[in-house]
Amino acid sequence: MTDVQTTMVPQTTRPRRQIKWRLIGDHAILITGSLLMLLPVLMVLTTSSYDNVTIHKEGIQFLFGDQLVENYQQALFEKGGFTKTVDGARMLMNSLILGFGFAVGKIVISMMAAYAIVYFRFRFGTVAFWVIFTTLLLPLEVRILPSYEVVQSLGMLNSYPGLIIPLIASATGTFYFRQFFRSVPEELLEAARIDGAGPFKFFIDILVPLSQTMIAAMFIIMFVFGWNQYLWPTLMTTDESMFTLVRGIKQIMQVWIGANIPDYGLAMALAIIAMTPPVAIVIFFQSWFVKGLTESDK
Amino acid sequence: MANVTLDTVRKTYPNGYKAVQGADFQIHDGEFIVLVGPSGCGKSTLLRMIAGLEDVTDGNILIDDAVVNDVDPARRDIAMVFQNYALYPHMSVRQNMAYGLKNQRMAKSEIATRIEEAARTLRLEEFLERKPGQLSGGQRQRVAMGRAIVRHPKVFLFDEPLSNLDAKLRTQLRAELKALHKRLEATFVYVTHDQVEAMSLADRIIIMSAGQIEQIGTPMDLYLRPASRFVADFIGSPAMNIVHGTLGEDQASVTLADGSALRLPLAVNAAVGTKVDVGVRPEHLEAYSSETAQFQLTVDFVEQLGADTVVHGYQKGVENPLALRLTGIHAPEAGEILSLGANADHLHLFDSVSGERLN
Repeated sequence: MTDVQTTMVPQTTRPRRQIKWRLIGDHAILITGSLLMLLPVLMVLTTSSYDNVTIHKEGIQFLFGDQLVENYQQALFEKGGFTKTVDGARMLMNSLILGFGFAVGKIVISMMAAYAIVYFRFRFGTVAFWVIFTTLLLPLEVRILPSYEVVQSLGMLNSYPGLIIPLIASATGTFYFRQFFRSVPEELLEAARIDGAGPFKFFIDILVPLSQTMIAAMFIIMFVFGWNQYLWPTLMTTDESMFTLVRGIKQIMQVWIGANIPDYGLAMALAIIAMTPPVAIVIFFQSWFVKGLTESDK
Repeated sequence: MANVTLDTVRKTYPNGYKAVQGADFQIHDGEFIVLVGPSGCGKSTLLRMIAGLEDVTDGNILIDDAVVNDVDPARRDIAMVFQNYALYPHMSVRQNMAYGLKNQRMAKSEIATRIEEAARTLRLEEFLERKPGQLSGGQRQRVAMGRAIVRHPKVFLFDEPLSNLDAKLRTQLRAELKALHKRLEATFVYVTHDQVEAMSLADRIIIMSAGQIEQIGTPMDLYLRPASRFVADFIGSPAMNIVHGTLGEDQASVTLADGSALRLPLAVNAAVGTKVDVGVRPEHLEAYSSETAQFQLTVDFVEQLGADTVVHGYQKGVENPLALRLTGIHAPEAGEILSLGANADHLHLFDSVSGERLN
């Protein structure tokens, strides 16, 4: 290597420059990419600080205006909608309940299902797994009518359990946990058996703590999945006090203020509010999330 | 402390594979038993059946005269050390050792005392609060032993506990294990595929091959009077020299493949014309005068190991290469012919077909 470098010296800076161009090229691509991702969000944030008339007249704004605090206050605390029973904070809470309910419920159910499939030999165990697995191919939209029918006949419309429980079974989660449990060494189970841990104790004392990072990864995925649900809450809730944020934004666009201008500022503010919690969750669980997806050392 | 008795124990897996075909022996109180054999010979299956991790297909396992076939592993009063340690990665060393005792609902003070005692024995005091991931292989294996010791079990079971360690550490831990056995005076059952471990640790060795027990005896029994060609070949390094031939008319010589005769200093009680294998250990060959010599070894190459020298060579009429082990440093030239022979006590004759010992 050193030989090569010394012979290259007379040609001065040419090779260096090439490296620099590549560096600049790489950065340009990365920066363009990040801008493409960030700019729309930034524009929504800046635009949400103007009053509706300005937005309607002048369109998207690139600098902050003077209505920031007012718009967010209005978005969070002013009762809106047709019935004036729901404000942003309420919708935020509904969304959080839905997100957490989904995430926690799905993790609990799919961990238990995977535990049964991996550690217990029962008739048709493998068949059961593949049946669960194939439901991955059936999106929510396909089974939404029967699901609605069931929830409706159980009288669970417009309730949190009605929103959460029907979607709690998760093929994805079961699959991931199954793969994880299979990678746990057999000897650990045997050592635990000799140590007098029954099936329940083994699950709680050994498997759950070992799955920590996996649980964190699942939590992010499932929380965001729950948070972003639109069709399901739209069908399950008619009572405005049960609206979620994602649902509420659209509703607000349909409510016109005095001069027949859509409430742009409010909608933008709500959009920003709706984005924040999933981002916060991802940032909070990020290191665990990466570990959960890549970790092979058990 | 306890006796362990295996009464015609068999194991057949659901797919029809016969892992153990009739194990019948007794392990005495305080004995160090080593189960040894090549991989797939059923030794681990046997150990796991004693532990209760595998069902017994047929026969009975008794610990202290009580049949334990259907007793849960946790209630057999045994402890097991695994090859890959099987420590709980999320628990500290202390918690790892305490877990089994906690499940027995033992008093906290008693658990603490036992852990202190085991930690002192195994020199683990300073690691008690660490996680297994922060320990070296040797330390992890000591923790695994600690987890077994704190239970004060009747029987300790070891499943190739040293296989994952490097050679130096293995020797060191082997000595520690031996000392531990002396101190605890407990019954140890130890599985390994390493004959050196078996020889150095065992009070008695059980040597297995293809699900069958080949021989049970003290290490020296196995070394000096192997009951079959398999045992003869398995125990000892470099392996025993084996010469194929046919038993001659006088029952005291063996005709080799090229028609030449190998004189034996002993009479063999078998039919003339029986196909036989003559075995002699490399270290038991000595220099003989060319008239009395049994072997004429043409030197091929030499391995000088310092403490001793292994000479590899061949003889006309013998298919297998032969080896000779000399104490100290020697340097025979390649191509040199050495006249060698062995004492009658050191010659082993086996039936070529059944592999059984003839003398």
